[in-house]
Amino acid sequence: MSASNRRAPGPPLWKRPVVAILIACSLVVAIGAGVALASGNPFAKYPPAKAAILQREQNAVATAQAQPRAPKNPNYVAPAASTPHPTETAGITNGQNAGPFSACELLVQNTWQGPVNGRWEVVYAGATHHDRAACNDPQGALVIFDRHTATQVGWYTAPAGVQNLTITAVNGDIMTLRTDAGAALTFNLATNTFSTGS
Amino acid sequence: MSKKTLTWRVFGVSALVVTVLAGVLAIPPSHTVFATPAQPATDWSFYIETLDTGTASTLGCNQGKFDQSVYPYRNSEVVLDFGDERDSSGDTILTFDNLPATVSEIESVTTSFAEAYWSCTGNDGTSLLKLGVGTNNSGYTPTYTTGVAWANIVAAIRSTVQSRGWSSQVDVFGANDIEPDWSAWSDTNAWIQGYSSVDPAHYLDYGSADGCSTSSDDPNRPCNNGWTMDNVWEASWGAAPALAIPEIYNTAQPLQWTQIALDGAHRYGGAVYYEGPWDEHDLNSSTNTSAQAWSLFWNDLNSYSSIAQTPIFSAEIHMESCPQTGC
Repeated sequence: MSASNRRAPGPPLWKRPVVAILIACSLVVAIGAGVALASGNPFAKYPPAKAAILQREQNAVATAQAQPRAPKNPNYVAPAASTPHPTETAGITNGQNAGPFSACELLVQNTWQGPVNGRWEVVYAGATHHDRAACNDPQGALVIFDRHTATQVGWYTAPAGVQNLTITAVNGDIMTLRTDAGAALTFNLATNTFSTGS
Repeated sequence: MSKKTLTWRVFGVSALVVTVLAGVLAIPPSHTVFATPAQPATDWSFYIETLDTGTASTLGCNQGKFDQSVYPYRNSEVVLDFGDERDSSGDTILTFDNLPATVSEIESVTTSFAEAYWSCTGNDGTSLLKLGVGTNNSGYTPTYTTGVAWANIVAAIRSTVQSRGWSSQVDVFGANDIEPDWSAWSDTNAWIQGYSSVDPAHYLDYGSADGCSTSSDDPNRPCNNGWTMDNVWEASWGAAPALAIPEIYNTAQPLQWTQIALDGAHRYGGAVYYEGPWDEHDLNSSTNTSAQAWSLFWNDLNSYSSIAQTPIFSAEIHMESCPQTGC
């Protein structure tokens, strides 16, 4: 090949103006996309069906905010409570009412409520679990609340070996319970103590 | 070095710097331990005890005044727990005292709370109350029909809130304290399907992952009562309307929910994004405080880059009468 057919060497590809402009534009687009992803749609990372439900709710709020608003009463005062303590009926309620606990804290078998020591008590009977991770290692327990103040009176675990408790009767201050093994146990509501029953 | 050469070299270095910056913006947060971000103010949810609309109004007004006091505005998330459904009508048995609650009473209490919130935000027209109407999967066996009934309650309340002009600041949705030990997965899933069929809004799972692993995201690994990790994932995120604000009462629960989020990330290609931690410290002082729940939950979740997140809410449940009894 003669010297006249050989092209003079030019600048490296990345130094050529057109290429440089293309690189710069791509970077601008990339940065813009990154910023857009980092802001804006709060449901961008959610599965489409879920995002659609949440977006629909968000749109409903936005639509309402864009409308003329109903006037608020600047002197609004919440009405006084009219029924602080609904009619109370003493007795046992069977069925698995959850109670104000997670299942691992107390898996409720049944409940009793009635007057004790001048207050109205709610007693939950069931099984607590010492291993809260596995929700295992059960032990029978009673949890007592003062119904009027909605405060906990105490948490009482059954004697060792008893894994569950169910309330079967209440006479005066003596509550009779059935264990998971079918044995009878009593609990004195006045003194909050267990004793073996018959 | 010629001027032209210097110009190109400067350009090349600049392009390299910009490329690195773009990469940093595009890449999700890495596995780097940062200080735990500040906990949001904890919103109070309530076990409804009396069905008294005056009490509900006081509680709603309290929340409205608090949100209004935060500049420029804040959003809050509250659940009113009405206990477990007692039959297919949607009537419930209240969690605390076994008082029966009708659908009409549930709707009245919830709308009273919503109205009071809206009114008590005063000249703040931006703060938003996200209000959950709560039940649980214990008691009467959950069914497709009870899921439909609960969704219809939510739809009715949403309609009332909209017609009364409060929907600019109140967003109502369903909520369910879903716990594996309370009912079989097949029954709970039926409830979810029933709720989804009406599709009034999302639902918020404020429950637990009883017996689920604290160290493995194996989706088939058993939890309690015949559930698997994957079932808990489905109930809390996999179902289209599901969001979760899970119980973080002890040190095991944040680990369980972290594994559930990892199950989602590894198996379904996307993390679970939680609304926040839920605690009950006021009811049981041996359990996590809201600050402990926040810290444990955030640190466990952010130990993994694939599910790293900062929830936006902190929630704690109280008895309805709590503010009056000075808790």
